[in-house]
Amino acid sequence: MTDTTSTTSRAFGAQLLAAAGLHDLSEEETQSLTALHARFQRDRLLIAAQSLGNAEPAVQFNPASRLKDVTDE
Amino acid sequence: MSNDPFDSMSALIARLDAGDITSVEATRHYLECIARLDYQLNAFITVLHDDALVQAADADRRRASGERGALLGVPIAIKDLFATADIRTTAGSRMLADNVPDADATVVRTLHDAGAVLLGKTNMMEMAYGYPHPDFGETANPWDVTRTAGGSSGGSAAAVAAGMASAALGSDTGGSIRSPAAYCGIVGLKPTYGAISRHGVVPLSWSLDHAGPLTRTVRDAAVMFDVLARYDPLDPASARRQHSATLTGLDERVAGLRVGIVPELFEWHVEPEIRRVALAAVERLRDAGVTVVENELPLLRLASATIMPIIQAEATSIHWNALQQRPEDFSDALRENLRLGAMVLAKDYLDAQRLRALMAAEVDAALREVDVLVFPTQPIVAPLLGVYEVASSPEDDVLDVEIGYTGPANLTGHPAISVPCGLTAAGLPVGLQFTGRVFDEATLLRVAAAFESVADMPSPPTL
Repeated sequence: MTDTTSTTSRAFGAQLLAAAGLHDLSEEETQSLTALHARFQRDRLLIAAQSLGNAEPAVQFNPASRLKDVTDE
Repeated sequence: MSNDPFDSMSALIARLDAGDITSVEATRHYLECIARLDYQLNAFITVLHDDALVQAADADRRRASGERGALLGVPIAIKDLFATADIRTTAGSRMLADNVPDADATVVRTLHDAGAVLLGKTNMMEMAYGYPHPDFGETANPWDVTRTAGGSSGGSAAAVAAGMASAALGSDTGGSIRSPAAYCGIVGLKPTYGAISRHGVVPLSWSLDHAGPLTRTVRDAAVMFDVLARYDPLDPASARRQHSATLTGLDERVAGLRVGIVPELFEWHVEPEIRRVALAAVERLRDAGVTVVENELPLLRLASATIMPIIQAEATSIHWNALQQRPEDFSDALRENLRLGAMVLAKDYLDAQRLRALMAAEVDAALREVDVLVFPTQPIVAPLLGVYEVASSPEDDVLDVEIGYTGPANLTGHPAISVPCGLTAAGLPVGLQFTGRVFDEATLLRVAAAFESVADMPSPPTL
């Protein structure tokens, strides 16, 4: 029986690698990476399943802190 | 506190202050230990030998002329990703094998200013990621040289545990200070994000990287933290605040303080021997006078799943040009992980950063009810060298399991410290991890010191 999930995952992984500019990898490297990617993808589905509500990403862009630097100096 | 100047940094400082020992004598002692032991451990990449003795002689002259400094004449080791002027800084990588910085990292400069003597640069996992580069090899554990010292600051941990340095500096992105500290039976402090500068530190993941000390005792960690914690305009993440000294209140009573244990983290992936030692340690904690309650923190279970896309994406962004131009200069393991980072979708990265915000809020809420949280630093003992699957469950990757326990504090930015709490039946150290409120290292260290005073502390290993 064909493992369609794995086939889909491999194809997606190969697309991602190509999009990232990593299209000149050997077949062995590509297979290893797509398998690893599929493993981490399960974790990402766990995160996506959480209720993230209105939470903003914990990455700050705060121009005010730069203004403060200038005025302090 | 022991009078032996080589039992702890604080004991050495007391003996230096009393004039019982000189910095040259102490430095010579540590250099002799390195010469005698490091062939078994591989903890150092660079040993400064004569230069360390020159620094020590200078410290002795300054002390004789009446000068004092928090670390004047104290020999320390520094992880080889902190830039050191005119001294090779490799980050454990072939990529930086010939890298000789022009200037010191801010924390290296701060240690110099405090009078510390730099003994050498310690071995580490390649670029702090989690795997050793074959050019440098892995650091062995002083308690059992067939096992790893852990990573990525394994060289710093082994150096302190084996008595090859009075204290050491490390970095911690997902547990790289606390995990090797636990495996090597010493203290490791990851301070609040932004408390200690990372300027001049080879980055792994900007939003998760921390610098901090590895020491023999909690008191030593407090001494180092008080020297290192300060605002640095050269580090964009540095906190613009006045740090208050932690050492002054270290011995204050802890009776009445509340400690929250996280029951799930005494079960999930935890080896039976670790559970036995850690639960016995919690009982000792009650002996110290604190009130122990239970806290449920369900999001912490997602720490590994949350932290990995962040580390992967940020590390790949940092190393992308090198990955394109000199891929063969990375180890196979790091090269594959950096390529993997190129496959993280923007949505995955941002979902993780959003969950991270919720996780921080969950921990903040818990820390409004208790003063510190506690659970094992690692659920497993130090793995055998070169083994990256968990012995009791080979389907689990060691790095994933480790980061599930130490990663939460990197994600939320809270300060966390690993304190040795006993040995397994096989004689391997176990660490207990305390997590405190942001920028409240004072309370965190006070509880850790109180625990240390009642804990079954393992004697240092003999090699």
